Amino acid sequence: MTPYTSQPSASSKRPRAATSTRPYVFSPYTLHQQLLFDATIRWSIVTAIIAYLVFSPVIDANAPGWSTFLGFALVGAWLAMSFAASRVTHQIPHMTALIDTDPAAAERLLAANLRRIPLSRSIRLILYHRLAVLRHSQHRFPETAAICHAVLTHYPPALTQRDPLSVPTFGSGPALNAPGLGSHVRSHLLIMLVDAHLRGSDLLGAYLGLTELHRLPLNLVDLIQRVVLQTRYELAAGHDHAVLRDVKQKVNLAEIMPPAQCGAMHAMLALAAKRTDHTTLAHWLQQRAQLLCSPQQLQAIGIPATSF
Amino acid sequence: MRPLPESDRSFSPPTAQQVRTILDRYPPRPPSKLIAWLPIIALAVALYAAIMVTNNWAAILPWLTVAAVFIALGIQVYKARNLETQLTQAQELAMLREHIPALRRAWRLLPSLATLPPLHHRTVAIIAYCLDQINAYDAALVAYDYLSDQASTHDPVSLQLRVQRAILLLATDRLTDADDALRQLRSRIEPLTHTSIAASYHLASLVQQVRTNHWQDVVDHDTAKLIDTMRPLGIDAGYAYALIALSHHMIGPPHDPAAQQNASLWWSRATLLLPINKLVARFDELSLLLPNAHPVHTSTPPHHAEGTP
Repeated sequence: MTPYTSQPSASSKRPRAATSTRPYVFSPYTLHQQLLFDATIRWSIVTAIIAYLVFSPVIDANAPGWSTFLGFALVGAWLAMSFAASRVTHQIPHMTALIDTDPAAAERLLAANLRRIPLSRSIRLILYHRLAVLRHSQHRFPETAAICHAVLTHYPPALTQRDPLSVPTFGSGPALNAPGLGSHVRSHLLIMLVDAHLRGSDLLGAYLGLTELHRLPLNLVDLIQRVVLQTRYELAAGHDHAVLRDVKQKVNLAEIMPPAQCGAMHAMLALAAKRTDHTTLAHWLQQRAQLLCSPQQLQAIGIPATSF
Repeated sequence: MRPLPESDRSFSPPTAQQVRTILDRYPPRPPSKLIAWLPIIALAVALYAAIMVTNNWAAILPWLTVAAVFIALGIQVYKARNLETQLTQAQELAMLREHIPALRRAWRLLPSLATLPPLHHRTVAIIAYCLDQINAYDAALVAYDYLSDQASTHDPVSLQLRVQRAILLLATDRLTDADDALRQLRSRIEPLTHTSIAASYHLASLVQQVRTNHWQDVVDHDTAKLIDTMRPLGIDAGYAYALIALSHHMIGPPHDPAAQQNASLWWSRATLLLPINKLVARFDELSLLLPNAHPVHTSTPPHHAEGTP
């Protein structure tokens, strides 16, 4: 995959000391620096604590008062770091809610928290994930792709793999894998990345993202998103026969999607059916799409009602 | 339709009383403050012991206590995650319309989730939804009532629950209660155009008009506007279209071609979205439309040769 830089490279060389009202400007370099700095501080304190435990008898023998003071200082530093992390963790659900209701406030809160140093690695990556969600909701797709790509390169790889060619099975108990918390964030980042690539007509980037998604254990909601993205990709790449593969299962899956997405999926399948001369199927899907989606909604997803 | 497995064919849904009993027996209760503070208390005691006791063996006591506290917390987190995974599986089964297995799983999980109130709430929501979908309306009503009581009045979820409750009241022929419920909701629903809550409310109004034989009120709706209003329901809009077809069928004389043509049009829309057996199972009055041989669409994709150019 190609590296992304969403902002001019001159300004992205170091973290910017922006005011809290200014939007957070993302650069992969900043993220890398922040993670490095966080790790350096954390491991320095850990090393200092271990050194203290080993050498405290020596320090006690030479300077009796200093040993206790040093111990308290180290414990204090560790507690301060944990307390800061805990404060940020408690704000994450609030930030997530604000992304939908008040994006400006979410932007301010994210910017303030992202500038905190040190933070634990996982918390910082979660904050960047929320920044990607915010940028995606603002339709700033190149920046979304840049953030997702940068965070994914720092995210731990998925622990389990799923058969990349597997399709969802219905009615067979717990058909889906149960991913852990980390893999859910990873899959969501990949979903946003593929969507951003498709919106920017970068089919190669979308293909690579979809390949990664096929390797992950997904929950049902993410799996639905993957099927939608794959259909969009196949339609954009002209693989119309691939779009119609397992059409019955895809329709079943579409029926549990949110209504607008359900209609959009029908519209995409109808277009593929029309292109491949499956007239009856195209007509059936088109009629359903028109009941499920308004002409404006179809226009918004790039499939005008007249194209059926 | 896939045949039910043997275990599901012998299934009988819980009664309203059974739902009430399980909800009363296992109410959500947040963990006690003493238990929440227990690790801190244990660590404080260990620290005190470390300072006060000079015995060599006692020196390792604080470290043992710290290890025990961490192990206990780890087990607690593991158990909570395991329960959440099981609940997510139940939720996914419900989404995949495997209502009976989803209900079974959620029902079994409920007692273990009493100490985790948000998960407990989600479990009751799954139980309510599944009971509603398998037409166990009285039992579903108890679960929806419980959820409504727990939700804040200003929460949009509370509105959705109250609309759903009104539909269940209509399904169980409690027309006066349903009318009261819908009247109370009207002013709050009006600003919410083109949302699933507004669409559910309009479906409830249609059900009410059909159940009270106000066929003319149903057919007087503006067709284009009605389809726009019902779109947020997705394929469930088929229920609304079927009720409109029934109203057209009932309002005209049996051989009025205009009324029957309208009935046919709406019935074909309904059957395009939902299978006939599902429509009739939900609203048995729709069976009146069946002998009239209105044209139907199939709600499953027509056969096509997959992969052939």
